[in-house]
Amino acid sequence: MKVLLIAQYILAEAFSRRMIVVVIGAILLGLIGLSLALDLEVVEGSLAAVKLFGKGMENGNTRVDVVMFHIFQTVSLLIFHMGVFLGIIATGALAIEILSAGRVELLLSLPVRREEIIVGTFLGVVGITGFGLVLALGGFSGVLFFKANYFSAGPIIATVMGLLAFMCVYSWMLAVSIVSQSVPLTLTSGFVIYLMCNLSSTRESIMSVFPPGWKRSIVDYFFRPFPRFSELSTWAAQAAGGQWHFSDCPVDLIIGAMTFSAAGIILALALFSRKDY
Amino acid sequence: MKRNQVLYTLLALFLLGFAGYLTSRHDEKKGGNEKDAFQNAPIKFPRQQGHQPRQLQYQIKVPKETPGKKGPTQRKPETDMRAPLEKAVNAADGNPFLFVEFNGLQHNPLAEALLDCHKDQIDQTIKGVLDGFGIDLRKDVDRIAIAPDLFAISGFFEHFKLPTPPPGSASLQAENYGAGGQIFDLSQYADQNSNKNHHFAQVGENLLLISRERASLEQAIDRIEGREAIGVRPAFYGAAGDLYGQIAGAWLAPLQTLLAHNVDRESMDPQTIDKLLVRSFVDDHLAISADIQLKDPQKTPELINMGRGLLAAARFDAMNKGDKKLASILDQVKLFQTPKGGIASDLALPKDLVLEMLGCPNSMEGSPSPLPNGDNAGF
Repeated sequence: MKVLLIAQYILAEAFSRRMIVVVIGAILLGLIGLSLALDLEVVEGSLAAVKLFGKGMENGNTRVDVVMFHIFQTVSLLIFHMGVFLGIIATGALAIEILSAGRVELLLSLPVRREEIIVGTFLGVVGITGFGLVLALGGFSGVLFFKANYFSAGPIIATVMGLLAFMCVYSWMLAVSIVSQSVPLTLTSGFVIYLMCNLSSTRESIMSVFPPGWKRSIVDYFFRPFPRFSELSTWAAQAAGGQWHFSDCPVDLIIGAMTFSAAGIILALALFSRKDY
Repeated sequence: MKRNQVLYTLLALFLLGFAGYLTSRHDEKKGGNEKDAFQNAPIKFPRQQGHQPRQLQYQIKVPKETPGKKGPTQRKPETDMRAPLEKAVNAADGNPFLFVEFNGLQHNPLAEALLDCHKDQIDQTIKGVLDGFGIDLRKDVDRIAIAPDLFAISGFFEHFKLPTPPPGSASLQAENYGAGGQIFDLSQYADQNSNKNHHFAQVGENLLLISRERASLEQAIDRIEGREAIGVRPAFYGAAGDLYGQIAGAWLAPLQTLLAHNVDRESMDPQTIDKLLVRSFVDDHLAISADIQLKDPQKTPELINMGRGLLAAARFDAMNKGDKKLASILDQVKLFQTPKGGIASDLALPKDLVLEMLGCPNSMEGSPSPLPNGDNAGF
């Protein structure tokens, strides 16, 4: 319960900062703008044909579901990657602010454990990003519903995956922010982890430029724990486009990403517990 | 507090390792057929395994004495029944020879697939040899040795019989040679297009020699019975794998050509390699360990660099073509200098590739692996 109170405290702190509001607004406006700019003539034309003649256009080569599939794919990829990217920028300084000298002592003087502070901070930041992603998703879905009379729950998967990806990145950013107490370093670590998580999908290609032996093994083992953002986002995009099969669900990757995130939080806990405030 | 730090750090490391395991497991699932056991498991080469004789299907009976045959030089009975075969082909002039552990070789996945692929042809051959000579190739043959103009077979030949001569021909006459050899002239069976006669010799109940030249048989029997010097025994001599031997002289020509094909012909000395000692194990794949002796040891480092370069190029090429299996095989090729200045090399060929090379293309699963030739592998 105390964890949730800390998370609530983080949320209140975030919304008191103008930057967060600006970034969330940017996400929302960007995706709504994108939705308005989408080429939906095929969909609108088909809808008009249904209204006029009782059935859709059949002489065209491009079917409505194919067009929608591409739209959902694109938007899902954008939600995933832009969500993580902007999330890093928006939340990079939050933990440092909360755990800065003076404020952290105040927190520690309260009847809360160090573990609760860290987990609460993490959940609070994840909540902020989740809120932004849900806003973006809602904006996109709303525009599409009003414009094309079409609703799909597909992009929700991309939103959940985007949030999972952000959790992976932020857990390690939190650990870095505890050690460094530096916003640039925390942001850099976030971008590096995001990059590594994207590169990890091409691990085999990267390994092939190293000669067989210990050098390649080091590269191999270095990349292994990083979640495969590229594959997660591709799967989420395909699922959003309607190509949903349970057998295709990368369960190992999802659990692996959660474990990676948990490792980052635990490391942050280890670092926070050794700090002598 | 300190206890918590250690606990949390260890837990974080464990979770990181678990995350790595999960992503690797995902890769393996995704890889499907591309990643088979061969690709994941490190190959054990004959060099690493040492001298491990094959477990023979049928125990070889060691004759205490060659019955009824007392030659000009009384010799002690062989305690190692396998030695005569080795002596028969290993001449003092360093000629090439190759041993095939025929009995042991039959009972492994690769050979079984090959036998299955050529079943009709093999069954016909087995029947022909059994009817003509009384030898069951599946049970009676232990080892085969091949040398220039000499083919030696060791095994159990109690039921060996002479082939029936063509109608109107005289029956075969044995001619005793040395202490325990009998030479037969098979000229009446010779191919009419061939200008050479065929001969074979039986040495005891366990060794048969076949050659076009009678002199080759006599020299082989002389070596077996100690009247002629034998060549230097390679370090791995005797049950060094499933296929092993010494490649030299004319047998090197294809390799020399292959080397010359991959480098500047003008600068390449076509006779760079002096001798090649090979050992190989056949299992789900063909693992080969080769020791290359160069005529000029000073060229060893250059040749190793060249070989490694060709392998690296081939690996890149395989990766670019998406042939992960070949790339994985090339990864495991080892090429290094021996203390004596030669080159040691370990390489492996997967079962599918070997079968394809031996005319069984239907056994290939998925896209065929390119052959490691000059076009894409460089060696």
